[in-house]
Amino acid sequence: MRFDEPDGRFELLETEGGAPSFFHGRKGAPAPEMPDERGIDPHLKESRRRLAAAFFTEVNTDLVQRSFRFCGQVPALAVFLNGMADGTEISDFILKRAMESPLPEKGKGLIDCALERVFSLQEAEQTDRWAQVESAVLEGRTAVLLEGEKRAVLLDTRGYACRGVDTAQNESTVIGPAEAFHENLRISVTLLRRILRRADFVCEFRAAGSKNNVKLALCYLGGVCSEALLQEVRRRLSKVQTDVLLSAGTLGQRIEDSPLSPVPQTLLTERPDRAAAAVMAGKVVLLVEGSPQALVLPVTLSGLLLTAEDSYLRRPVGSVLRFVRLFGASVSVFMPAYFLALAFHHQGLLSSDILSTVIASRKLVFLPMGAEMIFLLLVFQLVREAGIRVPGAVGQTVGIIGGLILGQAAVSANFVSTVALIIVALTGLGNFVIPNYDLQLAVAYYRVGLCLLAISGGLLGLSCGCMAALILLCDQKSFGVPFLSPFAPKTVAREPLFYRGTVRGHGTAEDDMNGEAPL
Amino acid sequence: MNRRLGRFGLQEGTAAVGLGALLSGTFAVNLGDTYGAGNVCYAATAAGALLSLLLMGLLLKAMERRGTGDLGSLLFDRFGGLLGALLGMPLILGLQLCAVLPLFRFTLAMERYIFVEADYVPVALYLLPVLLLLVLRGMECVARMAKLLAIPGAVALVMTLYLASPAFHIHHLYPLFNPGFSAFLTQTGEALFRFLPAGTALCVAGKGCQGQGHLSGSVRRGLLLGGAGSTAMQLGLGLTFFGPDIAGMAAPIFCMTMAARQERMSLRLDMLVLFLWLMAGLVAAGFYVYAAALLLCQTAGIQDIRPVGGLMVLGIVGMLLLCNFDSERILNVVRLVYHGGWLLFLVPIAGLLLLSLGKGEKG
Repeated sequence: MRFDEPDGRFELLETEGGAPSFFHGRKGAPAPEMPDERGIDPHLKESRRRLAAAFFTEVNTDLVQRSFRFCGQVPALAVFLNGMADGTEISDFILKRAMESPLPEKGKGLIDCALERVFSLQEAEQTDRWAQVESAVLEGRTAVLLEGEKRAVLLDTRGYACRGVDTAQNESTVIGPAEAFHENLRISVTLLRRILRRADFVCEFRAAGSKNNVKLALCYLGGVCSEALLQEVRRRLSKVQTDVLLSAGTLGQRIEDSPLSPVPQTLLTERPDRAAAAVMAGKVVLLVEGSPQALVLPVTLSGLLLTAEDSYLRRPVGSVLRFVRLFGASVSVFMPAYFLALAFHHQGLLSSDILSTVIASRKLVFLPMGAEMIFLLLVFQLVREAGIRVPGAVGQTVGIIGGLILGQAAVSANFVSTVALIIVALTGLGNFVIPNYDLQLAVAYYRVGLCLLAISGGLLGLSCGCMAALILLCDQKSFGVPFLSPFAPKTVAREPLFYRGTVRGHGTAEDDMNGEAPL
Repeated sequence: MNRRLGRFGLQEGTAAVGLGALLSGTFAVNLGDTYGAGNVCYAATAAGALLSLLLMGLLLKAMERRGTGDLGSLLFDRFGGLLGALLGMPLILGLQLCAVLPLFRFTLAMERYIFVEADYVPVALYLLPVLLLLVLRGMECVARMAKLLAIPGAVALVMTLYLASPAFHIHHLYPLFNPGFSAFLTQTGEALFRFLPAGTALCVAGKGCQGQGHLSGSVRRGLLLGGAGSTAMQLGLGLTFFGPDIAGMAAPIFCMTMAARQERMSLRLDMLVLFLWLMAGLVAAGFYVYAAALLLCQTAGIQDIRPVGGLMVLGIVGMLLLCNFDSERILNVVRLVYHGGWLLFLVPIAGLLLLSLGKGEKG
């Protein structure tokens, strides 16, 4: 890799191309797997052999191969996965009708006849590619193969058990809709369509690029979403090659700009209203089969600090709430480091009253102050992680035990000081104010880093640490959109960071999305 | 080509020039010679800022007329490769010095007033990674950082003046124009060294700006705001101390806030403000170093700015450390730079103006 060779980093705001890695070039992309180009064999025997090879049918009894005579004469084979397909639909609308229907007149193809007159299911298509047959069967559809035909009929008989639409667990609000996305892709898309009743709302269904044949939906507003952004998303999705894809979060990591950055570059949301608002703003939403979250991209820092409730509340109240949230986030990032910097290096910055309180609280504590703070921050993460992993009410109990009893015991045992405990508690509260879970975790990284710098260099170290963090955030992009926009660079935004914008402003696409046209 | 120019707009450009001008205008002053015999610095600062505004306006007009997007191209266009490169050298040196001088003041203030028991070297070395990171990330990042830190910079300015305001006394300025009108003219010339670099640096990175109009607007507004801010600071300094008193101080801006020191809200805001100045100063230094590296790349035809920028940052930190180890000799050099530094900028710019704005075909 030469120094003067651009790496073609995607830039939505038409900036100069990014730079290649300094010490080594990018690793070459893995060679794509050759697609299965085989057609459908006209002999059912060969089709059975292929199915046996692909599905290990000798031991895999899930795959049902039902032989029957199409129109009472032509040997045929219905293939489906037991449990994935609806047995009643197969019996009533495929097998029964196929056996009872009369044979078509000469000159009319069997497949065309089957589609037009025999199978009375709402979604049916024909294919001449064997790979599509396998893929359809894996999805829960039924493939009908006829002797002597080089085409197959694929019928939508998907009918597996799934839960109903639930309320949002992690992004709950007091006001506004309560529904959450669903593991079933169709249901998730429907939830979006119920909000976005527009003809230009596009859902592109495509394979996610995993060997477990997961499908995803690429949702956007045609004519509003930037074509450059769409092409870039499609390009990145086409590069995804993985053995298994279980969630939208995994997909997000596969297509983000800076994998090493702790800050999230996509927004995972379980709320259809939030995803719909993003689509209206000219963003792209990805829904993945089996994942009850939507992946919104691109995102900015201000977008990650917003909640769905912001726009449901009136402007003054929403603005105050947002200020409280930003204050909490700032406390969460800076407070422990600031305290350590003052306590270690700048005692003169504290008034004599505060200083004497700190000294009195640390009188019998044997841990050094820096170790004490880092230890408490780690304990906080421990309690939080335990609370999340332990199910239901027990998780809440763990939090209470960790927070109250352990804290009180630690102070009584002179293990930690009350001042440090209060600071960590405030930090934890501030951390929970941040609405995005990924960002909460990222903030924890920055917090500990700043604490170490504050211990070593006081406010100088803290200033330099803040500068370094800001530089990295300034340079970060999410699908070509600068992470700190609309503030740096200045762009027109529907939702400014520091206060709630007017609801009137919600009629336009965001400036930093480089949308094709105003709404 | 990998010069990390990126794209920036009017607000980012204005913030970069404004911060650069404010920091240079406030902190890159030779205290001994400027205040030794009296104080006309506040007036000379304002005059220097206005004169710089005029010169930069002409330079931008010349760039527009020749159809060149940046200063390096204009040098190449007007003087050719070799002479253009030679005339670019003083500009590069001047930009480097403009980056060093405020950082030197900050480091000195830190060592003397904040970290009393610490050595100069560790304090200076804290700045190295941040400066390196900033320069290597490029102009787009520098401009965005300037935009982000413009508000803390403005807060630092207002807070400094507010904290010092109880110590303001109008008689500290008496007698007005004490060293005489010739001193005012000399200091106005020297003030060019504090304001021209900010505008020049943005012109060097002009191709990154979104349009010639935004480039001109950024330079004009930035110089105006930076000039006004540094004039206010110099006036505040003049109102707080007598000129000869300032001449003997290591960090007069910090001393100014301490002159009326009070405990407010249980915090020593005067010390906190110094860190805001430091952050703004680091961005300004990064802006100058990046511009110097870019100009070298433009004139020497170097395609990758990162090795050049990295070496320049190391050079800056080396110069900072040198200021500590051989202070007497360095101070003599610094004095010489203060007196003649403005010529480093004025000579190439005047040459460009003569050749570009005179009669002849347009580009």
